[in-house]
This record gives sequence, C-alpha cells and structure tokens, in this order.
Amino acid sequence: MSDDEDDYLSNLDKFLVEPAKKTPITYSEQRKEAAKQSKLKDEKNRLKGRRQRELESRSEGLSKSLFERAKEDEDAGLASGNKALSIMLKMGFKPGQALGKAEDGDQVPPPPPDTRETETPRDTSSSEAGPSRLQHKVEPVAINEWTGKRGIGLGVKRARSPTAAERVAKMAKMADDASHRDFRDRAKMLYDENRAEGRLAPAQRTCAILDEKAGKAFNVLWLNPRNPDTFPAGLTEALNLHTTLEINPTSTYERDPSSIQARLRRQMAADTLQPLNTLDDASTSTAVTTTFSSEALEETAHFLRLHAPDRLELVLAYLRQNYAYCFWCGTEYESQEEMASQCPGEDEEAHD
Amino acid sequence: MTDNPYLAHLKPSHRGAGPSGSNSAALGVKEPLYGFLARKVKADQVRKALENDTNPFTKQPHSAQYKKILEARKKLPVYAQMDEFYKVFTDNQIIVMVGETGSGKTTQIPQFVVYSDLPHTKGKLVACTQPRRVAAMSVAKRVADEMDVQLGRQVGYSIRFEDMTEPGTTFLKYMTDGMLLREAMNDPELSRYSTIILDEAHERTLATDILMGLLKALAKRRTDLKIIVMSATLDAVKFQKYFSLRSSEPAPLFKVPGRTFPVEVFYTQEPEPDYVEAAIRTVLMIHRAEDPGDVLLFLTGEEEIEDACRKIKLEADDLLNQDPDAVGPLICIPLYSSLPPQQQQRIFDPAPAPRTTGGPPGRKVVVSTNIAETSLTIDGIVYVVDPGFFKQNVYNPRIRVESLLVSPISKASAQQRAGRAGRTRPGKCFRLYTEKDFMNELEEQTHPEILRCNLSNTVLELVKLGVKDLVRFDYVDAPAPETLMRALELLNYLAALDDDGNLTPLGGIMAEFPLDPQLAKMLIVSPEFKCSNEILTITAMLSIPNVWLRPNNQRKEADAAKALLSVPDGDHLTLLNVYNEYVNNAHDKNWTWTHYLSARALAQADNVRKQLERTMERYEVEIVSLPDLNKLYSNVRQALVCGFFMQVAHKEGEKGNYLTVKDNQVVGLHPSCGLETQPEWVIFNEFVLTTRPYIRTVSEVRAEWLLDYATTYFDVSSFPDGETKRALQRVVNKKAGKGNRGNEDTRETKKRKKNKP
Repeated sequence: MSDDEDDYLSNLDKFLVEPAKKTPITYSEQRKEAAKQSKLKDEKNRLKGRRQRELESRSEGLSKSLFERAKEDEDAGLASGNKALSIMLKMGFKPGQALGKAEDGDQVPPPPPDTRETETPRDTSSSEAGPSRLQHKVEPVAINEWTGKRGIGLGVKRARSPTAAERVAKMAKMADDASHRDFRDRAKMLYDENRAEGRLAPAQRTCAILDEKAGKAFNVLWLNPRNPDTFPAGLTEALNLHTTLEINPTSTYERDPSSIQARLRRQMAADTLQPLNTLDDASTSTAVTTTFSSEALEETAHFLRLHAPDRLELVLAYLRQNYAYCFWCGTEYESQEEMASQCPGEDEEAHD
Repeated sequence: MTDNPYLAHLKPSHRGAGPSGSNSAALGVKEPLYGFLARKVKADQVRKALENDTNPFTKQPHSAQYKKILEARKKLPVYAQMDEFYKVFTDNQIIVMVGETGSGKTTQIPQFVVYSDLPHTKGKLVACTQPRRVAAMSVAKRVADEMDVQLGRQVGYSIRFEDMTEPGTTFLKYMTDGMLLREAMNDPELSRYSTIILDEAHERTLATDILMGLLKALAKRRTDLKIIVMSATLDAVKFQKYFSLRSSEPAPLFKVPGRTFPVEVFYTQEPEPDYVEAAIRTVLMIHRAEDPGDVLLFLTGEEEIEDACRKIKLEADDLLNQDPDAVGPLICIPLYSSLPPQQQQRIFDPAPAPRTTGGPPGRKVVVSTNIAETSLTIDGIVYVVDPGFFKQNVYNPRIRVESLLVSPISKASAQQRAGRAGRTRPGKCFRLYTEKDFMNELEEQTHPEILRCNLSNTVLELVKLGVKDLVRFDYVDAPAPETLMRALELLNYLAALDDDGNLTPLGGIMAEFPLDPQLAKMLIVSPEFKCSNEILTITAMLSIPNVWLRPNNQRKEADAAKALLSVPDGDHLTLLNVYNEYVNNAHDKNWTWTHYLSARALAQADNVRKQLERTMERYEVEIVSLPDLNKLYSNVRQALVCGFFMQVAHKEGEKGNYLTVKDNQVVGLHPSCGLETQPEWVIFNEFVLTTRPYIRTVSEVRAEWLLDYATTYFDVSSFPDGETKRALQRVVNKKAGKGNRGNEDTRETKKRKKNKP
C-alpha cells in the first residue's frame, strides 16, 4: 500500500510537473505564445513612446474641428456646459461658414468687376475668387512642423509628389539600368521579378484605395498588366494608338483583336481628330483622346515597360511620400516625421 | 506755468507758455501760424511756418538744434511731396499711404497732419499708432526733438503700463495700436482725436487689424475724423479696397518712393540639406570674395543665432590667420529681442578697421531674427543672406496650443529681406533656396496675426466697446470661427459674458485691466481668498518677459540659484517668492546679478504691479494678505484656479505624462518647471509647442478646488469616459460621502454682489 501510495504520489508529482513543461510544444501554441509576446512588446513600446503618443494625441486633436467635437459630444449625450457655439449661432453664424462681413452680409452689390480687376492685377491671381470681395478662412491656420535644419524645398510639410516629368525621367533611367544588367544576373532577376510581381498586386491595391480616398480618379501606379481590371476603360486602346508600347493587360493574347491594319486605321482616325463613323471602334478612340493626356499616356508607357521590382519600388515610394504608408510595416503613419521615427527603413530587409 | 496777467492785451496765442518777457524776443515776431485755416492748409504756408524763428506751439524761439534737424528733414522723400500730401489730405477722409522704410513717413506725416488739423487750438489730438512699444517711444522722442518741444508735453507717447502724455497739452501722441484699442473701449467714438494714423499697417498686428475694422465703421459716423493708413507697398491695394467709402471707389493712394538701390538676387541650384551650415558657408564666401560692405544673415532664434555667430567667428579667424593679406577682420553681432538693449545697440557699431593700414577692410556681420526685417534698420548692410525661415507663433483653437515653430517665410517677407541690402548702395541678396522653390513653396503673404492668435482678450475688448456682432464684424481678414468660439467659451466660463454673449458687470471690470481675462478674473476674485496682494504680484510677474537668466557657460550655477528661490508647490509661488526677495534685497545692487535674475524684467514687474494696483483701487478691489504662510500659499493656489481652471492637466501613468483636461493632449512639464513631485492635478499658465508639447509655469492644485470653483467646467457628466473622468468621479464620491456640497452657490452669489458697477 505504502509503495503504491508512494508510487502514486511520485507519479502524481511527475504528472503535475511535466505537462507544464510540455505545454508550448505544439506549433499553434508556440505561435500563439509568440503572438502574445510580440503584442506585449508592442504595448510596452506604446507606453514607452511618449513622443509618439504626443504626436498621436496632437494629430487627433488637430484633425477634428470644434464644431465636429460639439456635435459628437451632443450625440454622445454628454451634457456640455459650453455655450460658445450657441452664442455664435445667435450672432448669425452658420457652421461651415467663415466669419466676416464679406459673404452674405454684404448687401451692397459688388461693383463692376472689370474696373476693379484692372486696378488690382496682383490680387486677382491669389486670394480673390468670385464676386465676394474677400475669401475668409474657415479653418484655423495649420501648425507648421518643420523638421530639423533642412532648407526650403526639402521640407516634409509641403513635400509634394514629384511631377510627372520627373517621374518619367526616373523611369527612363531605371529602364536604361535594367538593359545593362549582366547576363549572369538573369536567373536572380527572374526570381526577383516573380517575387516583386507577387508583392506588386497588394501594394497597388493599397495605392488605389488610398488614392481614391484622396480623390484621385486615375494613377499610373495602379496599372498591372497581369490584371486587366486595373486598366480604366479605353486606356489600352489609347496606349496602342499613341505610343509604341504593345500593351496587353491580360495574361493571354486572345482578347486583343487589333491587327496592324486595325491599329493603323485607328491611328489615322485619331490623327484626323474627327469621328470617322465608318470605322468600327472610332467612337471609343476619340473618347480616349479626350480622357488621357499625352503626358499620362507617356508616363503609363514608361511605367509598364519597367521590370516588376522597379515598378514595386515606385509604388512603395509613392505610398511613403504621399500617405506616409509603409508597405512593409503595413501601417499608415500620421506624418512623415512619425514614419521616420517608427519605420525601420525603406526596403524589405530593414523589416526583418 | 500760469498766464502772465500783464500780457492780457496780446492775442491769446501770444500769451502761451514760457517764462515771460525779457528772453523771449520772439514774441514780437508775427504769429507763425497766422492765416492757417484748419484742414485747408497749403504746403507753402507750412514750409514758411517751419522756417519761422518762433516755435508755433511753445511760442519759444527755435533752438539751434531745430534748424539742424530741419535741414535733415528736408532731404526726406516725404518732405519733397508735401504739396501733394496736403492736396490729398484736404480732399479725403481716408487715405492709404505707401512708403518704404526710410521715406520718413512715421516721423513727418503726423507733423504734417498737425499743421493742417491744428489740434492744439481745438483741444484735440492726432494719434499715430505703432505695433511696437519701443518704436512708439523712440519715434515720439525723435519727433519731440524735431518739433523742438519736450517729450511728454506737446508730443508724447502711450504704451501699456506707461503713459507719457500731459492731458490738455499733448496734441500729437504716438501710441501702440493696443493702447488705442483700449481707449476705444471707453470712448468708442474716439472723440478726442481729429486724425488717426495707423502706421506699419502691413505688419497686420491683431490690434491694427481690429482698429481698421472699427475705424472703417467710425468714419461713417464721424465725418470730421480723418484716417491715414500707412503701409509698406505690399498690401496697399488691399487696404485701398477695404477702405473704399463708396463701394465702387477704392480709397485714394498717396505714394512716396523709398530711398533704395537695386538689389541683385541669387538663388541656390539645389535645396540645402542644412540651412544653418549653408548660411555660414555663404557668409564666409561673401567675406572672402565680395567687395566691402556689411552682411545681414537671417536665422530663427537665439540659440541658432548664438551658435552661428560662434562658428562664423571661428572660421573667419582661421581665414584671417591663413591669409592676412587677402582677408580682413570680421565681427559677428547677434540680434534677437530677448537681448538686453545695450547689447542690441552693438549692431550699430562700425565694421572693424583693417589690421594694417591699407590692408583688406573689416566686415560686420549681423545675425538676426526677423526683427531686422522690418522693425530695425541697420545702415551699411550690402549683403543679405536669407535661408528662408523664421519662427512664427501660431495659436490653434482645437487643442488650445501656442506653437512657436520654425516655418518657411512668405514671398513678401523674402522681398522685404532682400530690400535690406539696398539701403546704402546697390546690394546683393543670397537666397538659400532655389528659384523654383521660391515660386512654389513660399506663401504669398505671412498670415496676419488675427489668424494666428488667441482672441479672448480682443473679444472682451470688442464686446465692451459695444460690438455686438462678432460674427459679421467687418474684418480685414476674418479669424477662424473656432478661434472666436474658444474666446467666447473662455469668457462665458469666466462669467465675463452671459449665455447670450452680453457683457456682465464682472466682464466690464475685467476689461478695464490690461490683462488676459484669466488674470483679470483671478485678480478680481483674489480678495475673497485674502491674498490679493500676492495675486497682484504673480499677475505682474506673469505679464513681463522671463526673469530667469541662464547664460550658456553658467547653466549649472544659474539652475542652482533658481533652485534656492523655488517653492515646491508651484512655479506661481516661486514667482511670488522671487519678487518678494527682490523687494527685500532692493538695497543690494548685486542681488539680481548673483541670483541670475534679470534686473530689467524685475524693475518692469515692479512698474506693472504699481499700475495694476492703481486699477484695482479704481474698481475697489481690496489689497489684502494673510500672515500664515501655509494658509496664504494654499489660498493663492485656490485663487489661481478661479482664473485658470480651463488650463488644468491631469497626471497619467507614472512617467510624468500629463493629459490636458478636455482636449486630452499628452504634454510634459517644461524643463523650467520647479515642481519637486509630480502632483495629480496641475494648473498651467501656458501650453506651448516647441520641440515638444510642454505646459509652462505650473502649480499643484486639488481636485476639490476644481469642483468647487469651476463647477460647470468640471461637471463630471460632461466628460467622456477616461482616466480623468474616473479621477474626478472619485473625488465627487468622496465629497458626497462627507456631505460637503453646495458651497459653490454661496461663492457665486458673493461674486455677483461684489460686481456692482
């Protein structure tokens, strides 16, 4: 009995201890554990990053107007003791409008615009618009956060996307570089190409989503020859017409009906600049010439000529620059400054 | 001086001032202003009067200095256009005048107006506003000399906390625009004035902008009032249009050419990765390769400027040692507003002499903030280096922060800077950015102050002045609606405005104090806490520039000296302590020096305190104190709450982070803060955004005080869920447990009772 008991107890001990050691052995458990750890680490980082929290609270506070806030408070049922808005409303303020006499308070009809315009050539260009004399501000002056000692033209705040011309130049250079690559690199290139193609699709989708949110109707960077849906109607035809690029945004060639003759005919149709009704698809091509500027077409052609890694690079650079979005982090940062401090780097390696 | 009865037979104008009889031979001379008809005066008459030996205003013979100055005045561009001026002035009620710096408009035009208005004969005044205190003082002094009168008598000035005029005698008054606005508060018709001149209107200070709105409306009611708006060229058209009395015709323009030389502008080929480094390089390049002539470099702030000065000096000395035959000596002079006046004067020092006779000439380099852009003129500048930045104050109503950050300048500003190179001879301007960036990146104009600042003070003044409709007020540039909303919110919470936006009796008294509404409120309620004496001191100390000195090479010593004076409960009490110690040690001339305090700022605090004391007496705000120091300090902080309860932050976590109440901004205590611990609730004087968001001048407060003295603002039910709400709720629960509620109502009624007019 005593032996049994001993055995039982010792077994029990073993039984109690061992499973605790064994638990994280299965793969899914390990993964869960790792996920938990990394989440904890993230939380810690969040607590640590006071600077980040300052930035976050600031950009949140700055992004919402007081009128929106008042409305939210009201909707949330918070009894707000703030009477300021009601005082302003009593004075005749309408949310969304600017202060000042100019807009509708100006009962005097505006004088003939011609005389004024000729007298004031300086002002007409900048601030004057329409018959109202002055365009007053609706939004507070933004806080301009200039970073470091960078000179004018290098500031983050007003950095804009490069102009189409600059981008075209850069693409041309990339294509040039590509053609000089050594034959031995081909294999690696092919591998890279495939990898990049894989990455390109989601990156372009993100780009399209962010662009559309920003109100852009078309961006060359959305185009993916492997996915015909990324091509807006008429673009393919326009490209075929106006550039030397043979573009075929499908994985197979079956959908392209254009023979050399058809193309020549369409080219002629476009050159005459008037609808030639006898031609089968003349109407589309004329529509096309109005929708896509020649610059856009040229840019498209350049873009599509590039290898996938180069295209990917362009898309990612665009995302970083315009939306402070890092593809590798999968994060849209609040500002360039924040991205500079939070994101480990521009390329994939930095994110390992 | 009393009238001499023996001269009673003479014409009244001859009786005037001055010691009678023997020494005034001029009395026999014909009255200099004989034949002058007010507002119909011709330039010929004025020129003759100016040449007369008798001063028409004092009836004294002109001094020798007068003649000398007059000769200099005759060379001013404005003087040459006197005929045209009188023609325009006589025919119009409102004139827009354009003249570049150096045209003499600030000193001469007001004098011209005096000769036409003859204000001394009618008991009126001519006012000329200035955006800056120093300018008002120095120009008044200069004009008093030109007119050969004593400053503070016929010609005077009026700035906040200092009135240098003699009522009844002064007829030409230079004043800050803010002072004229304050006068309008109690006299909306500005009936004392025959002509009002708004100088430097292009600077678009808040007060000038508001005054333009008021004067435009006033001109319709008071057709006898003349208005001159003086500006640098840039915004003239805008002003002309704004001041068109009949809507079709712009206000007439009177233009005086400046005395400027052409300036050649150079741009860089590429954007500069480091503008400070590029600026230093450019200065040295000029020193090495360009003809003699002084250099003006624009940088953004004290630290940057001092740093650049050191580096330029080092490099220039190196150059001099390497090649003494080709390169001359160089001095580098910093200039920024916090510099003591005697050091600011150094910018007028001449360039150093060549080391050897006939050797390469020396060069002066002034490294300045944008105060050298408009307010100060340095002669001898031939080269301007413009990196394109300045520090700009921007208030944002959404999170109620005052940011002082480096921003790109505007095109107008860049032109102004370039113009500084052409004052003595043709000059060169080196812009450290590309021409393309100049065109594309820079805004046209700098934002006028009204778009960039907190308006609570101004709104109170306007309401007091009788402007009912702040929404449809005829602003030159209307502020953002949210800024107005914040101002109304503050004034409503402080009970200066009722729920309909009308001025309360308390608000009426608050407006009489030349202070921010929070400070005024705190001062007015302080007798209830038996500490108005102390609150008065703190208010004065908060109304002056920083008192702490922290020289670069003695930071440790300065910090140690400060620690000795610090009160652990809060920076406000520290300020009180500093002032009291300053007064106690008034006999010791070295006291401020050994304690790293600015004697100038403390003297100013003393002056401000005296002025405020007078206002308090006028409105019967008692000055009282308590003997028990602990009780006193606690009461002082309670009084602070009554003014600053909208500037409270709550501690969050253990890291010394604070969250501002209601706006939920993560902020830190400013490094200058002297609190020993990190209390749960603090009240702050300012929320600033510099390199990081900071709250500055901070004191500990108790949550109970917030709930007692600012019941509506700290109404727990109006808070969104969060740490702050929970903390408040705990305090409310505790209080309810004690059954200790409802004393805020009694306080409220007490306040009301006090504020009978």
